[in-house]
Amino acid sequence: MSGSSNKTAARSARRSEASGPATPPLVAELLEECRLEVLGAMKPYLGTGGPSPYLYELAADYPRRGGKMMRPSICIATARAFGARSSDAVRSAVAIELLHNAFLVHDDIEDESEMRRGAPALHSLHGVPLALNAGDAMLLLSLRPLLDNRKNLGPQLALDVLLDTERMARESAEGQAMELGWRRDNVMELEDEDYFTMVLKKTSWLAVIYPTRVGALIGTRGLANLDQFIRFGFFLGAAFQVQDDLLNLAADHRYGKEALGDLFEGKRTLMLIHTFRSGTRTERAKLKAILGAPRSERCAEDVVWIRRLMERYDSLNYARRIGHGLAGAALHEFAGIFGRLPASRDKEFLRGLITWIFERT
Amino acid sequence: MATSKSRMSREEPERTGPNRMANGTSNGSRTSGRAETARGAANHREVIKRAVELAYHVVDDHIRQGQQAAERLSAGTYTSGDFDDDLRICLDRALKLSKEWGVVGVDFFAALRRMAGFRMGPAPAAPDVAVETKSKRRAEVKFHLRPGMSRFNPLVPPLHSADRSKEPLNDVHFEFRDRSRPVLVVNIPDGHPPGVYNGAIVDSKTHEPGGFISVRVLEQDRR
Repeated sequence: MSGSSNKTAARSARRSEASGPATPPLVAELLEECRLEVLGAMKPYLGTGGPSPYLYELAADYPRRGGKMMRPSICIATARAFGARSSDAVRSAVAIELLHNAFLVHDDIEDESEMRRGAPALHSLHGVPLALNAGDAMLLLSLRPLLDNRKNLGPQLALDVLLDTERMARESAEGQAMELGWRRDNVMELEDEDYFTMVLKKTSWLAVIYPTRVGALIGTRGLANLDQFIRFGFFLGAAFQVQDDLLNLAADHRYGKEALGDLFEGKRTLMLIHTFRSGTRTERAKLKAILGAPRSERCAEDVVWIRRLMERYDSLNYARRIGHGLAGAALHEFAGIFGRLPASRDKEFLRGLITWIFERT
Repeated sequence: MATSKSRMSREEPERTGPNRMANGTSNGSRTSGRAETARGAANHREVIKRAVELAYHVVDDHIRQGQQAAERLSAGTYTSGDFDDDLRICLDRALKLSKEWGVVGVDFFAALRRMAGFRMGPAPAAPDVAVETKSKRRAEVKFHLRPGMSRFNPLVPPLHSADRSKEPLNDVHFEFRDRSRPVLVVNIPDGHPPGVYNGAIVDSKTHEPGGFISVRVLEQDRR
């Protein structure tokens, strides 16, 4: 073994000791398998013809950019863990990915984000009107695979999935509205509880709750108790979001989004809420003034000042600890739901996701 | 020499007590490194404990709200006719949401509402009855019990296919294993032909109908 390998192995062992068992390689493998399956099944639903260069090519852009497809993979794995076949869940998985990408297009416009998956955001490339229209079209395109579910799931189960889609869309819209409202009105006096509520709706429903519920509906032919997936999905989704927010503050070229973009956008993260709560009166006033200004007036100097303030109050470690606590709660809920199911790759994958979220770059 | 105006001064503290922040950057009295580390670790644990408790509070409250909404939606009297209503409500909400988001393809939802393919079958299982399917083949079980049948002692006569050449399903029955909810046991013999088998659920004493049941036997085997 070379010296370099020794060092790597030692580093890996230290990390393993510090943070518990590493994520099994199976997580990356199964993500890739599901990604290819979903991409293949998505093709017929992406639309062609008509004003394709102005619509369908835009709609296909984000899905082709190489996202990890965590959400559809969770759906397929959950369905299989409960005894279904991939083919039973793949249409729902396609719909989940299309919905996710549709929301991303809208979010990027609303947040004035510049980058998405390592390339300029859709509205930066094509302008807001065409991007908005493509996002709308993707929402509608996602309905077709859900309707096609009737062919293999039967009408009742297909309707159950459609009803849960409506619930997810409503929860997500409410969560997004909370965050946008806080930013528009420059609300800073927030508690961690407010953040959890916003993340539950904005992130967890689409990222984990809905994919697991749909997977369980399919796997149990509609007999699953869906409420238990809200707890598991919330904790995993919230841990995922906290980690995503932390990554944004330490972004490098692998991250795919604008470095410190969340600060430029004034996103109410756990770190920002903690920093505001911990700051002095003067610091709070300055923070509020910076975040109250339009994004175009927020300069790099302001953003770096906020980032340093976060360091001073140890807000990143505060959020990191909470993220780990939420992941622990997710593990607890996982055992309650999946513990009774027989061992399988899919079960191991779902459990592995809980540590995988902390190893993302 | 600096004038009094340019002299640096400490900002007026706004707190009236020590700042015992959970992140361990306390400005309290000086202690040994080890004691401070121990106190820091305890604070970290407290942060996590408090956050997880708070998170459970948030999610449990959310689940309660969802349950209340679901109860209002079905009002405890879910019948086969409600499926069309639910679909209409679902699509009306989607339509409203799409309008709020400025979605252009509103006609799609309107068309969806008219889709004849979404005429639904019988209602899902009543929530207080468990279903146990004993079969090598995959099967879907749907049944409906008339509400308000508290003294009803259910009996399931053989379930028949519309195709008379197929044998009926003869072993479908309710079991009351303990004081908890009853279990509807559906036994499908190996090699039983695929198809839809329907029948009534009757009172074992009066033979008056109290509901209906439909079992769809699929071609695929269970995994």
